[in-house]
Amino acid sequence: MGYLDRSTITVDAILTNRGRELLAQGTGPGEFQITKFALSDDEVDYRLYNTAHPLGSNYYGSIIENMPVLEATPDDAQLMRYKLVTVGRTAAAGPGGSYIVPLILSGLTGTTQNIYQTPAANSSTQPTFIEVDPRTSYGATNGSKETGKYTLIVGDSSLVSMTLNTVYGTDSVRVSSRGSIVAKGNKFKIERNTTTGKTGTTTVTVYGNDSGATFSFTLIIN
Amino acid sequence: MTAPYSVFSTFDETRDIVKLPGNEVTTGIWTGDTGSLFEIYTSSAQIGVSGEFYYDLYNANPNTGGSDTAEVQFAVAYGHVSGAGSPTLATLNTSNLPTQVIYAQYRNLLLGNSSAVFQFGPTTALTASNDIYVINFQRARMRQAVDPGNWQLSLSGSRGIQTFIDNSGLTNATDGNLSVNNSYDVLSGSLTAGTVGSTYFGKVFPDFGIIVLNPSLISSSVGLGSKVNNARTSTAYPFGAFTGSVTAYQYQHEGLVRSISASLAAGSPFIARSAEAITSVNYFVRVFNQNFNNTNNPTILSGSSQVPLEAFRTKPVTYITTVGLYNDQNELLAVGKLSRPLQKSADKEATIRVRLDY
Repeated sequence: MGYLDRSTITVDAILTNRGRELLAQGTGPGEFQITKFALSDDEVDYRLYNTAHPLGSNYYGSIIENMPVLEATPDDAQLMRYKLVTVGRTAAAGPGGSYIVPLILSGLTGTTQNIYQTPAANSSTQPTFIEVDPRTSYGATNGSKETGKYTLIVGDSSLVSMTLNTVYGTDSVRVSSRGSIVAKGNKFKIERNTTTGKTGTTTVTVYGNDSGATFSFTLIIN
Repeated sequence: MTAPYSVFSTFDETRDIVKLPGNEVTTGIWTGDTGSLFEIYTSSAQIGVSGEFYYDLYNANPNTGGSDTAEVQFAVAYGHVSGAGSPTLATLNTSNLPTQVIYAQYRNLLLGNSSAVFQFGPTTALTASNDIYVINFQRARMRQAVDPGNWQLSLSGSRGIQTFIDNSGLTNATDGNLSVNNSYDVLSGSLTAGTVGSTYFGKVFPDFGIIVLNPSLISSSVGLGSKVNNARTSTAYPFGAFTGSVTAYQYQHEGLVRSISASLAAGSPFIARSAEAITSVNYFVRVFNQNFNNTNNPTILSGSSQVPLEAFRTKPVTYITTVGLYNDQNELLAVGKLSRPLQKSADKEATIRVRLDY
């Protein structure tokens, strides 16, 4: 008779860039205070889960379980990309009672959007801004707003600008130490950056704060 | 209808978050966390700008090909209470009085208000010293403090190589005439054999990363060269501090630098460790059986639908690779990675202890 393994998995954490910023600010509003956690499976490819494994069901996930995991990096905008989800009992079920993977409906057409620093005069096809009005689909076509709202990250703050507008639906906007714009709210307006006047390409990612669902698109500033 | 999906789980502050008392971590003080320094170099650029006050000592030659890897390890300075070694303003009207500045600087930093001069020795028999050598560890190297009882300075002179350590292994931090409590006396000795003799050559202030030495005692004990005007230009060997009238900066500290350099070259390194108090907080991430059994990972999707692959429909399985710690604003403040993916399903629970040091 062997001993039961009562060990707890121990993980060493590192501060993210945002964590360092808040820690450096010390105490006060917005101070460094960890209150909750989330889990993610970044790096895992579930297509490697092999139900035809010759050694049987105990080995379905052996390829995934034996893969090496990369070290953590401090860029909070790039981490925790695919979050694990807790699904409540009242959630709508898919075929055979299965989980429905949530989907962000961005209200945009296509995965590439364009805005213009200097649009042609009277041009209706060269906008200087775009609106992102996300909803989350749990199987339904139209989707609905999440209670915890959304987080939108623009990779390069030198290309575009965003402003806080709680009436509009954007509750907070900040520029991270890495130069990304991080905004929270229900609706977002991404405008050309008239201060820099720069053109270029950046990536915009929207996260559902409850569902963890993500949606990314490329934004070209002409 | 909005489904009750959730990606966050809130910590129970009293049960899940455990703050541990400060834990002292020590490591080699020199670049690369090495504990022994065998080579030092000066920078002609630094000496040209501020060399009359102090010399920065590098681990590689900053003047040549080693400039990419050269980092300041420590600095050496000389101070005199009335400015000996510096030309007076009457002699040189552009004089910066560097030796007087240095003495005043360290006096203000390290001594109490009533103390006009540095004093060395046992508290019952303190000896005043009008001048000082100062060895000042680079802050980035020492982190929070120089680890007392774990440094050894080697000096070379006409009486061979002598080593010096502090007596922290013998006494607690002393008060004496110092406003800073955490100081120890510097005596002859080695880390392996302990202190030797009863001559107090100086003091070390671990929290400041500063060693203050009595030049007269060091000079006579080690056998530094003649204390003459412009010794720096007339001799290539370690020289003592000249305290007579001068018309040019004497760079008195260069004599000590040469002494240190010669001992390193002879195979007797400068040994030191840094010390740092690390605050650790343990976060117990409790993953209950009904939680986190589904994922947003797009590789689980079956084709273009919102339904998972067949294998995950009736018995969802996920794999945890990353734990993210968040604040109330959903900002990711810290992150930890598991060494290998951990399988999670409705018949499994896990407790992950996430340790955060800062």
